[in-house]
Amino acid sequence: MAARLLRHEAPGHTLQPTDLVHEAYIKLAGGTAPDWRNRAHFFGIASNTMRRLLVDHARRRKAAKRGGGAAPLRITNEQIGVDLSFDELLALDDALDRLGALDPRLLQVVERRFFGGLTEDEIAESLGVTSRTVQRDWAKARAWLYKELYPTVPS
Amino acid sequence: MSADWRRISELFEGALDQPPENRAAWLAAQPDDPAVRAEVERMLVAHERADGVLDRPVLAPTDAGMLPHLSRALAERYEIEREIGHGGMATVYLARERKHDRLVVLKVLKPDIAAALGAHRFLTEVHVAARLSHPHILGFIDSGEADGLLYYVMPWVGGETLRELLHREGRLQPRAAMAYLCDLAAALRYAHRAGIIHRDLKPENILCVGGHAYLLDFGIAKLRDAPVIRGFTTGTGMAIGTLGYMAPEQASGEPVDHRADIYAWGVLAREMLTGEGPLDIASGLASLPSAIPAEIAALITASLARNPADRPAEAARIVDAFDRWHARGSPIGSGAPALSARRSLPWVAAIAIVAAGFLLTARSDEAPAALAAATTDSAPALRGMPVAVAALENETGDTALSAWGRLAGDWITQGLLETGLVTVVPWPYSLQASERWAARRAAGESADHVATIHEETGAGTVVTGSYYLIGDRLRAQVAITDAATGQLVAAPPPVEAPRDSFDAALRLLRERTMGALAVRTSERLASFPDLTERPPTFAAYRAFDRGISAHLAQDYARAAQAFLDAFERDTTFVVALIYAGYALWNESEFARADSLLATAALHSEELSEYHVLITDHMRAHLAGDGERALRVVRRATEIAPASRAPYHLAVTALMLNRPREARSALTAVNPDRGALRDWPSYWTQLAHAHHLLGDHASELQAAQEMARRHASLRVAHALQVRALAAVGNVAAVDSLMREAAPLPPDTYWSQGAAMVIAAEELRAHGFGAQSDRYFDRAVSWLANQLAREPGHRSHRDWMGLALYGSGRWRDAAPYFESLAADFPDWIDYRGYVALVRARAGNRAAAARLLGETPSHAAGRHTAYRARVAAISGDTTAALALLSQSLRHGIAGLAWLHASAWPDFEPVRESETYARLLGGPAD
Repeated sequence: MAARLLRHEAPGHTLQPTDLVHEAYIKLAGGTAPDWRNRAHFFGIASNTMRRLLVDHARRRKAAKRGGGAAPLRITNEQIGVDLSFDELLALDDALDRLGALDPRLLQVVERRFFGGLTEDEIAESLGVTSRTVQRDWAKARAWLYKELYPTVPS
Repeated sequence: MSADWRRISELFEGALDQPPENRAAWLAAQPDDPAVRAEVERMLVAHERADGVLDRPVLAPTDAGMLPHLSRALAERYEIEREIGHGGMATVYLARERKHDRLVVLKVLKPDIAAALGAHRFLTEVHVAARLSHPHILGFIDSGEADGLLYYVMPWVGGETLRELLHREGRLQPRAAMAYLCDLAAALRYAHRAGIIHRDLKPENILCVGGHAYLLDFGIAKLRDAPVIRGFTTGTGMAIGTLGYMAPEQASGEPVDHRADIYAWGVLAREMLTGEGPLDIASGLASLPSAIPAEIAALITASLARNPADRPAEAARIVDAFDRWHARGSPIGSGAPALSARRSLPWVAAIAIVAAGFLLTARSDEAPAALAAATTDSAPALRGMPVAVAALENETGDTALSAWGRLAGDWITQGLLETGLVTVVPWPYSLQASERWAARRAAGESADHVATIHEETGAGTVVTGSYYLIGDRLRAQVAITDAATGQLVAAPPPVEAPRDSFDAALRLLRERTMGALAVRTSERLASFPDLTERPPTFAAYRAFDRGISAHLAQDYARAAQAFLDAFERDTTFVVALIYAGYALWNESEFARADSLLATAALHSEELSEYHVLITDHMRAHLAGDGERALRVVRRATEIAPASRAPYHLAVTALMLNRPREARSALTAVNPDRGALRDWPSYWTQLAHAHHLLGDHASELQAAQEMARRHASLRVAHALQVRALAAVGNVAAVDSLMREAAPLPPDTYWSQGAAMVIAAEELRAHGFGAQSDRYFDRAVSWLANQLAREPGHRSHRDWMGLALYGSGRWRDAAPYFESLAADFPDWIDYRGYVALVRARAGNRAAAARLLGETPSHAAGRHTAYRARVAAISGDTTAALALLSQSLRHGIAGLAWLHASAWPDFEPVRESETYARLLGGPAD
């Protein structure tokens, strides 16, 4: 390949000399299916995916609303199986990020139970802990999240 | 995990182990920090709340626990939204297909039925039925077994079932009923000819959308007739309504043929027109409305005959009768079509309009007035938003067929471009956006295909799709999505063909896609004349596809070869020739590029305007006609804003000293998205534009933005140096030079190069002393490098420029002479040798060296002639030549002013010079 020298020279005028050397190569490999290492991994991914889908959906619809669309601002039972306002969902999403920073396992428990719809036993199996631990984690995570989401004035 | 959190966590668990009334006291007795205890206290208060977000599980179990099970089993592919119905055999859900982010109808066989039937038999039957592809049959887009559940999937088109419609309306207006009956007869004719009988035609299996009817569930009834299932259905009792639509022979368990469907059609016809249900048939035939043409009324009555032999022999008879009626102008008594969907939710109506618009392609004479009006009203708002067609996804499992999806995407794009009716994202750039999506997905991001294309290209409407194999047949389907909202707006029926002869299917797919797009964009799309009839051959396209990959990777040598290969395999594939020309142009093979482009231009009547424009643009440059190149590329930018045309517009404008136009072309596009993503030259051109406008602050900013995105690029560093030198900020230049020292080497740019640039620029802006210092530094840095590596091309090049620029032109001569000898085709080296000769007083030798003007570099070449004239004191010729060179367009004009500074000394004060190079021409 001819090197592009002398800055006055711009063959075909589309390229500066450095273009050829530094452009990012666009990968042509097709998408690959996620490689589920095991069932727990699958549940984890699926729950997290569900959360992201819901949150994306809420963001999109809110954006559409701001754009003047007539989108309803609640996700209803009919749409996805939960009655939840977009604002609640987005606030929950934020709080979950903070919870995950504090204690990653609590986040996993909430995602699997709330977004993944798994039972306590299934969560325990998928995380390799006992059901009792899942119960305790759930109670703790729920209390922490509610504290964040619904602050009360101290009496 | 922080120590505080660990302690908070322990205290919370400890408190929960206490009875509720004791918790506060227990907590108060703990020896912890008050802040920690306060946090636990807040959690305990929150713990008592019972109505928070988390107390409402997302997937509430319904239908005896099937939904969560199903959701999990299908989680990878579908997101179940809700149950929308259930019958004796299956439960029906509305679901979102993740891959295409579209709504689909998911039918899941009841677990006991699935168990009795077995997956193999079910899937075999579904595959047989899945071969049906007809505008009025809602086919299967997927089927399978997941965790013991058998399911099949159909596109969701909105609307309502005929049952719901009848329930609400009683009987239908004759015109609406006639439209539905005609659709159903056409669907039956098609299926019967394919040897498939429906066996369960009933209002529940018919969807009415936008004045048209769609038949569902072909092939499914046959499963129910399987001996294993009969026990179940008779045992649990079949819906009594269904029995009424069943032909007498079918109800009594005798063998049935296609005439059973004709019977059911008759029952439906009668019910639609009279409002009387099937059970009334035994009590005598109610008379049909007098508005119904006699011939059709007679066929309806005959269809209801007990004896199959007395019914119309085939559905084709019925269709023929409708055709004759249409040919007479469809006269009917009175009443307007019942456009049921118009009363539905707005978005359902939108789907309905699209669906109907799509059907207009087949029978445009049937456009109801209301529908036509809706179409016209909604179109203009959408017309300006580009349409992008993605590569169809290969689901055949056979990578040898991967190019099909791209051929299809390209072919549809091509067709849209040819119409000139809509703004279209040219193929390489929608492919680039698709590839980006694939890369994001491969990296584990949850990227949406449509959303990614929207973000990358700004497309308002995105066509996606997939194809798969059924036996040795390929089947393809597309979905059309409103990119801004993610809402599916149309899913035309799939097409299919033997895998070795896909041309016809491809044409049909394009026709259907364009028909469906017609309503969103321009209704003329639906029946555009004179589109290229034949897609390129598969072998040719495979080569072309390799070329596009190389093109996007900027490997133009490989791209040129692949494009030429494509053209050789199919000499009607003129577009391949254009891309080959482009690639060769970028490889500096100007003569070959020009000859290919000239050949392509001979076929311009077969090309889309976009392709004609890019051909013209390149040819104009190759002919040295910068002004024409600019005119042409302006139009290309207008019709294809999502391509690289805006960039080419900027480059061309800069060559003609029109930096304002270049600046606005560049600032109108997003360099972090789409066609110019990761395209560092964007910033080079932007910096040039600001530089020519004398806006050195913005110039510096552009160069810094480039450095921020492409930290290792030495050219970004050089551009910053230029901007700082232009304002005499030597301290900042010095510190930049230090910062850049560790950057990786580049084939062209170096520390020495940046020093030369600083020196030239400082001199041009009146900082003579600092300029001299930089020239000296450059010479000593380059001398050092060349001592180690005497043959280094770019060091020799910059050394020559440093010596020439600092007045030591005699010393510069050997560098340019040796470069000119090594690279005889490089006009810049010859140009500098000519300048040196002119300075030595030998203008004739200079003129000889420059010789004839090569048209592909006419501007730059003429600029050397202008410099030679100026050096020789011929100011008139110098200015005339300079003016001429600007009409050709000068590549690298933004550098010229500073590097030719000493040469133009004699003319610099003239008005003409000031007009030509003293400031922007626009």
